[in-house]
Amino acid sequence: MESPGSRMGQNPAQARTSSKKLLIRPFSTPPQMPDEYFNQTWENELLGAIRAIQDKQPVRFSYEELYRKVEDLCRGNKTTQLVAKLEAECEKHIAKQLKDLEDSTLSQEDFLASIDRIWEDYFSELLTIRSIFLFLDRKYVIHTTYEKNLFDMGVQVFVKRFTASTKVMDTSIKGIVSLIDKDRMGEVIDKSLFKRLLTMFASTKLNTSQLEQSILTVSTDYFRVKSLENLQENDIVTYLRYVERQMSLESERISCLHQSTRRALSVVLEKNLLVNHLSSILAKGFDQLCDETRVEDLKLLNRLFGVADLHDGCEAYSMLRDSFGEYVREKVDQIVSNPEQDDSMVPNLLDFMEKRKVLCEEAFENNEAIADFSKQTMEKQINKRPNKPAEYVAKHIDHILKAGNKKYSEDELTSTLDKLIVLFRRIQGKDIFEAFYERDLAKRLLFDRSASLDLENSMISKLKVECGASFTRKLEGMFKDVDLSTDIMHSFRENRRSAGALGDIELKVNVLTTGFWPSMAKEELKLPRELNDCQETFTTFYLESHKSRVLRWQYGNGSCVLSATFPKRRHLLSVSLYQTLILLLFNKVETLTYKEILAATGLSESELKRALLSLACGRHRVILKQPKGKVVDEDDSFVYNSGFEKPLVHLKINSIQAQSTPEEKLETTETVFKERVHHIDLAIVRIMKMRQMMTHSRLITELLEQLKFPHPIPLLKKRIEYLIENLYIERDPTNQQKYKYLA
Amino acid sequence: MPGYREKDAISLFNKYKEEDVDKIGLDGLERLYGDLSISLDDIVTLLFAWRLNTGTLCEITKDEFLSGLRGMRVCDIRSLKSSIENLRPLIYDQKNFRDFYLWCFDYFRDSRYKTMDLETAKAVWAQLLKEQYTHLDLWLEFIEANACAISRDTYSVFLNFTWSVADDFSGYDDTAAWPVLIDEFVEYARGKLAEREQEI
Repeated sequence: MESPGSRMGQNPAQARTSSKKLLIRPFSTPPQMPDEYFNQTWENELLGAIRAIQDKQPVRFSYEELYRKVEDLCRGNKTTQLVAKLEAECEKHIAKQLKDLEDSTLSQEDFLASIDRIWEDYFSELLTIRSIFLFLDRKYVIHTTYEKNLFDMGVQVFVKRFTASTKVMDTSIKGIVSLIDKDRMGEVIDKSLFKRLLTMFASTKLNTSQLEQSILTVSTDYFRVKSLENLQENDIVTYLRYVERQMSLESERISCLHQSTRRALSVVLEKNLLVNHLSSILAKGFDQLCDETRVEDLKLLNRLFGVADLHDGCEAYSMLRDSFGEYVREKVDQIVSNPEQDDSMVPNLLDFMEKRKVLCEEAFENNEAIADFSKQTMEKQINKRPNKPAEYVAKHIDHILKAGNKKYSEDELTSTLDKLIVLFRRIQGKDIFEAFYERDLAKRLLFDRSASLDLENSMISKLKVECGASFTRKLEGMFKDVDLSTDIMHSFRENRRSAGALGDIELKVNVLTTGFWPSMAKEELKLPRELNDCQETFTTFYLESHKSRVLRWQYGNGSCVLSATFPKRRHLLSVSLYQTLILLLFNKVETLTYKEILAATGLSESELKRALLSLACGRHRVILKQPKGKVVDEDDSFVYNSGFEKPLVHLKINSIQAQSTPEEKLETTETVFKERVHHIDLAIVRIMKMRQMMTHSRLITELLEQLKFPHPIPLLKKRIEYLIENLYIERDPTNQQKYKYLA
Repeated sequence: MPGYREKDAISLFNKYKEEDVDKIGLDGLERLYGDLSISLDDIVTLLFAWRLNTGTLCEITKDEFLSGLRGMRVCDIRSLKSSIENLRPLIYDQKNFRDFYLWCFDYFRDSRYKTMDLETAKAVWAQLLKEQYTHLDLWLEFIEANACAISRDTYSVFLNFTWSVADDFSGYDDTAAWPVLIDEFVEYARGKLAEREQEI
């Protein structure tokens, strides 16, 4: 007997012996689960279970039974219907809950609490239901084209009903926003409720844009007001710290929401707390922070400005750069442009350079734009004072090279000298520096004031790099001359020892090579016989071995130690040669008038006056002035001070000689200026020769580029006129603004 | 209309020339202009000198006189006078005036020096630019105090200056090619004008 499906039931023995082939065919139509069965199962077991879960009632059947029922239904290909039924049931349930909520008249707080509860319940119910329908979930997922699973479907249902109810949506959002508000005001809120609500919005992907909008609007208003309040009441650092704290607080507050909302809120904060107030912040106390080198606070400022700068159209870093540049400019201007503070100009500049460096490196974290701009501004401002900075840098270096190790350690000195070189690089008018440095070095060498040969040498190597070898060759020549002179003096003494031609005068001569040393004025002094003899003796000696050379004696830097026998005691007086000439006159005569001294010595009036002042009106008055007073006049007369007596034997009356007199300073600068004029003329001729024809403005531009020292335009124009007059160039007859080269 | 006849021209010349040299000197000029009824201060006398291209101040050589008259096609006093009068409008023509003005520098300059001394320069300007430059008085005041001699370049550029710079000196650019003396003048003049305004 055959029946469908019964072929398999055949006796295996029968099968073997029948020798018929065994064919197994599938069902032509798969078996269908009867609808009856489905509905029954659903009604009786599943639905009840679902409802029980939703009502928080105990479930009648065991979870395993229910699970198997679901499996059956699934195997019976009732998945689509099952899902539909499930979905409908969930929707019905949540719709009712939300409607009840809608209809109620709860306070905002209670409303939120209800939403929270509804969602929490729904969520856990969904999980339970899903565990019952797990098989469906798996089979559903595999067999359908949707990529959702049951859980997602449940959530979607929730979202659908929640969104459909405008009242629920609006009230929830308002409620959340008001919680934020309260928290900001400092009121106590239920933080975990708040977080849960946000998580609900985030994880269900409920209409986040509306929530986001509301949060942003409220935040904008809040911070717009708060920022102004805070800005007015607080100083700059307090405000910045307030901003920083707020930013982290707010970020923390909505950390459950999506990144884009968090980012949007940050933007609102940054805009209202920072971007809109950048200039006020800077005006509040930026300068003071820089003044007091408050690195940590400036770091904070820098950080926050960095954040603000990322906003479109916000030029926070540019503002910072400009503010800092302005600060630098002002400070440098204060240091450099007040002639009464010239003596402290260089130390102040060095300190300020250090400060700028620290601020740029540490506070502004090596921001290139800020560092470069401030450096340039500093340089520009230093050079707004023409020529003087160069002079004072030279002076300061002189000071250090004289003081040497007495006050500072070797390292300190080296680092200070390095810093001075850096400053030097920034200054225009290096020719002034060179002139003064040379003169100061000359004085140091001739008066033996160098503290350390090592330092001098290291300076020279540094200067070689900055000024070129032609300049340092001169300096090196000066050192050599001094060394050589020592040797020469040695030979001189050896030679003359027996002859004793000098009598009891000890002579030391420095032979200086012209060209290495700064120029010294020609003088026609009237030396007393003894000194003249010394001079002659030496000259003869020297020229014996150097026949082709010419010696020209310079007296300005000469000094003597005189043995002075006063009635009360003897003294040794260290005096300049000029002073010596004057004093020796009193060997013969007790009183002399100004005019007599002038005639007898051949000194210039200004030098004479200065020398007489130092001898008659200073600390050690070896001669007395009549009439008494602090100024030397032509009608004065001077008298030997027979009552002179001081506790120490050895007295220095020539200490100012080692310093530069105002005339010397003026002369140095004048020489440099003359050189410059010469350079300008050469440059003009050179340029014109090359171009043959040029407009005035082009010429000026070229000159400004080529000439490295400060050169005001009127000076350039004067030189151009001079060259026109002397027929090097001419004006173009057709165009007054053009020049032509005249061959 | 009389043209040029060498004979008449020569006799005219002889009437005014110096006794023993062939040139009309200061004395002769005085008489000449007296006869022409032209004041010696009149600018046309200079224009005449310019036309004749006389080399030396207050002198006219025979050649200069003759070739000048030949050029003007006159040889008697009356037509000479009207020709000279006809020179007057030339000062209103820019190009001619410029040539004349530049010629005056060399004419009045002491030929031993490259520059013109201050007194002469002042006189020349006073005469030539009398009606032509509004601030002539300020300029003369200024250079009296601030300059020692006037170079040809300054003299020449000054004319351009009077022509091209506004009366209130607006738009004057001191970084342009104007000589430094003129830059300083502008500063001086501006100050003076401001003072005058305040007084009003």
